[in-house]
Amino acid sequence: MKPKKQNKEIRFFSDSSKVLQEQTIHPDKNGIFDLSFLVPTGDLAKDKDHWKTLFSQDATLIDREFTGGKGRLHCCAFFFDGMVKSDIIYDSIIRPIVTCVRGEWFCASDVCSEILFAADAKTESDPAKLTESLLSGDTLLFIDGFREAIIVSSKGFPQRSVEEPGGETALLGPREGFTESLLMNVAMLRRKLKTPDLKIVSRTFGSRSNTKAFLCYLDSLIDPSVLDELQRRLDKVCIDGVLDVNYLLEIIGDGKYTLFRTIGTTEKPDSVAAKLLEGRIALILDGTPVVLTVPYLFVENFQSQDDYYLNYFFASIGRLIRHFSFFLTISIPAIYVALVAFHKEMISSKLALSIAIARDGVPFPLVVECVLMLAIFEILREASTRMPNNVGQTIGIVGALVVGQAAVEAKFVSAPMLIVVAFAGITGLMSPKLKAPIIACRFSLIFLVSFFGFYGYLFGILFLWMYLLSLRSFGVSYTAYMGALGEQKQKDIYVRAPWWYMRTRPDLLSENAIRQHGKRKEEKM
Amino acid sequence: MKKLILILLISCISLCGCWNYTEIEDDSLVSGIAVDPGENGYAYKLSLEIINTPSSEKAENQEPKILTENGNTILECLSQVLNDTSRVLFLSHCKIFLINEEVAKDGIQPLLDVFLRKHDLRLDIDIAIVRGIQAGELLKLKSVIDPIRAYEISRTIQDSSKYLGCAPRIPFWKLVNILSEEGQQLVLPVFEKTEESTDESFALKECAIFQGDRLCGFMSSADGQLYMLLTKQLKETVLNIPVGEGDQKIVLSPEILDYTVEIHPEETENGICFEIQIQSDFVFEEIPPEIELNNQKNIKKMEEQLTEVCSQMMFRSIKFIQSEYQTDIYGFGNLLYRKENRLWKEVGSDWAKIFPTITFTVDWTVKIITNGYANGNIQVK
Repeated sequence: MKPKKQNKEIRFFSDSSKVLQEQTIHPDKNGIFDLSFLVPTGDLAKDKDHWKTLFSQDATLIDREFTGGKGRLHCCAFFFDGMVKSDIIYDSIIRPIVTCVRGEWFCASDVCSEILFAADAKTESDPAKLTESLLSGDTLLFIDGFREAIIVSSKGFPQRSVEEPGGETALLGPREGFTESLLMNVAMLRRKLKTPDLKIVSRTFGSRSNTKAFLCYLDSLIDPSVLDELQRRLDKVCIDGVLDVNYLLEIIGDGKYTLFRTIGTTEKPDSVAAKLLEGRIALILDGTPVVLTVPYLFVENFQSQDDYYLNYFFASIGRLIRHFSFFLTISIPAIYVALVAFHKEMISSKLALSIAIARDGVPFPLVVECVLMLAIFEILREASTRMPNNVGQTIGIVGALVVGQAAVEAKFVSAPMLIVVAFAGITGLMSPKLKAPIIACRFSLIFLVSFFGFYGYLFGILFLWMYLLSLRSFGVSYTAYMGALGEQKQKDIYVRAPWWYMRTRPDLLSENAIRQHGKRKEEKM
Repeated sequence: MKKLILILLISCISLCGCWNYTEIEDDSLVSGIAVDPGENGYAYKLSLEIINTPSSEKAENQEPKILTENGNTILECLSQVLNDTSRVLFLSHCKIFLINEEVAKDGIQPLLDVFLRKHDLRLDIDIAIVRGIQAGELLKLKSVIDPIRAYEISRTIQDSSKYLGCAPRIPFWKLVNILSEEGQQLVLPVFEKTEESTDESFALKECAIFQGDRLCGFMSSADGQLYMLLTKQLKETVLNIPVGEGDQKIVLSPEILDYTVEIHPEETENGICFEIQIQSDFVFEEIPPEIELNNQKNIKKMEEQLTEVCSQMMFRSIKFIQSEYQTDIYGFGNLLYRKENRLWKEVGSDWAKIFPTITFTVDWTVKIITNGYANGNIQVK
């Protein structure tokens, strides 16, 4: 008897899985399901069956059946385990219905308005919306006899608390950073801009990830053509999943292969609020703490949100240094190679002598030495980013010791080259948003310089400028304001003017340019 | 098509090779050039000081090397030197061009053309004359501070012309200007061998005076200072002025702080006369104990005394050059050319003959600005 029973059990098991497989519903090529069969029928058993078919082989779907209203309400709640707060389901759905004794209910909205305690509950019969709600952590409530379901908001998935973003640390000012939760991010933004003018438009990306996103902007400040352009480009996005804003950034950004970012990214709500106030548009995506802002100008690479919180003089010095250091970091190795290999007469005699002494005995040609050292620097940088934090420090020490002192002592490289590369590296760290273009420009300038000397350098820099001038971000010139004349136009480019001086918004970004009407107290009106 | 263009562009860049690319340690940096009369029938003997780039930083390794070659032109000598060394000569860091007095007496014009034409020789190279020793030998003497002799010489000329004003600093471009100027003769600094304790070294001594491009004589440092003053090249200096007669003779050493020089040419029945007016501010930083300069009366007296002595001193100096060498280093002719061009047209063609006959007056007004210390001299009791 015993072995036979075992066999039977096994057969039953395999049978049931076979049945399930047969009933599994597959999406079409684009990941879209045909959900028409899910329209609530009014027959609870049937509806339950339909939903279980849709989510067959899903262990986390929970269907909780209960009866309330003195036996008159047969209900079934669908939700995903782990994505909901069970307190909400208990307190605002099950308890009110089960304990309810009096009343007449003719449709789902009666139940919704008379019995449920939920903060957000609405009736719905569109299967697509029901599915979307269920998948984003809401609870679906089906009641026998009603041809509509009730969506009760019960989202409660695990999320990170608000922390200071690691990528953009601030000396002063707000320290909070966005999290991975879309609604929390929007809440943080709204706390800073309490105005009905703040529009939050919802969009969904990814045919399989169905990631929610919000377009945020201050309606009276933006340039509508930028918004239209952004909407148009977002309409064209057709990808299966969007896990981070960079997916969108690369699809909707200007220029197919451009190294320079034409869309801004930030993790700080205060930074986003400041950009919205200048007439920019933000895109907040669910599941990532990074927020996109458009349009994005070249100068924004050198602006830090800190600048606006620190003393304007100090901030201006910092910003000038950042501008200058971008030029230095791409140029220094190239200029060094040009001077030492091509134009030795341009260095002072003492310096030429000390470089010649240092170079004596180094086996590599100058260009090779330069490229090798820069490559080693990049390797160290990459290694220290990828390593766990506690190992990262070891890399720093090993890199400094091995590449630095030992290499010079062993005459693998010359000491001046080490200084040049280290200086290029340090100045490069000052504008982290330009990491990719810096590496590309630096190496291409060295390449040009190694063939043509300063002549090649000049060509490289000219080409870079021409390229930058040709770039656009959502219709706005990428290098806008960098060469503009006028005090109000230059107030926030290379320096940061005092706040009382910033009377206007950037006029290329905003329709409504006046920012402050009043003047400082002391000044006569 | 796009790819083809890209490939063509890249090969344009990479196939042409590295234009002018040389490693700095493969060049030998030439710091100084010295010209002497040639040996074995050649016109010149060229000595190059080459900076040694040692791998270890020991002092004896930093001694520069001297390479010497004979040739009939400067360029021939330079190209012959290539046979002596494994590295290519790099001339852009050359700071000094030393000319032996014997070569200078025959005229320096043939030596200069190469500087104008050869691209890596610079126009700001300093030029100096070497007396009493071969110029190439001077580069082998021991220098006081910088092991590279040429740089030491160049610094000496710079500092001396700036703080002492004994001799002018004449870079190549200035030399060419002076040579091609109307009524202006050249003065160059002179270097000589000296005995510093036991070591043989070199120092700046006197000035060389030229007639055209030929060396014709030398003048002392004191005359050099006055020459620099009169030609407004002086920046600051300490003058040595003897005052008084016989036993009362005292040497004062005031510092010149500020001065103006005005020269007016005038045509008189005795020929051309130049009125030289100098106004200068003196500062005393050392006063002999015999002199009291602590009240206005004494200072006034001293000013009057100095005015007379200085004027005489300047007059004698100019007279000496005029009668001894008959060469117009002060540029009186040039002044005439600029201020009295009509007159210059008459006399300019034989200015060399007219210069010894010209007359001049010197009016040097001295003003003492400060005596440095208000409480008089140190009293020994």
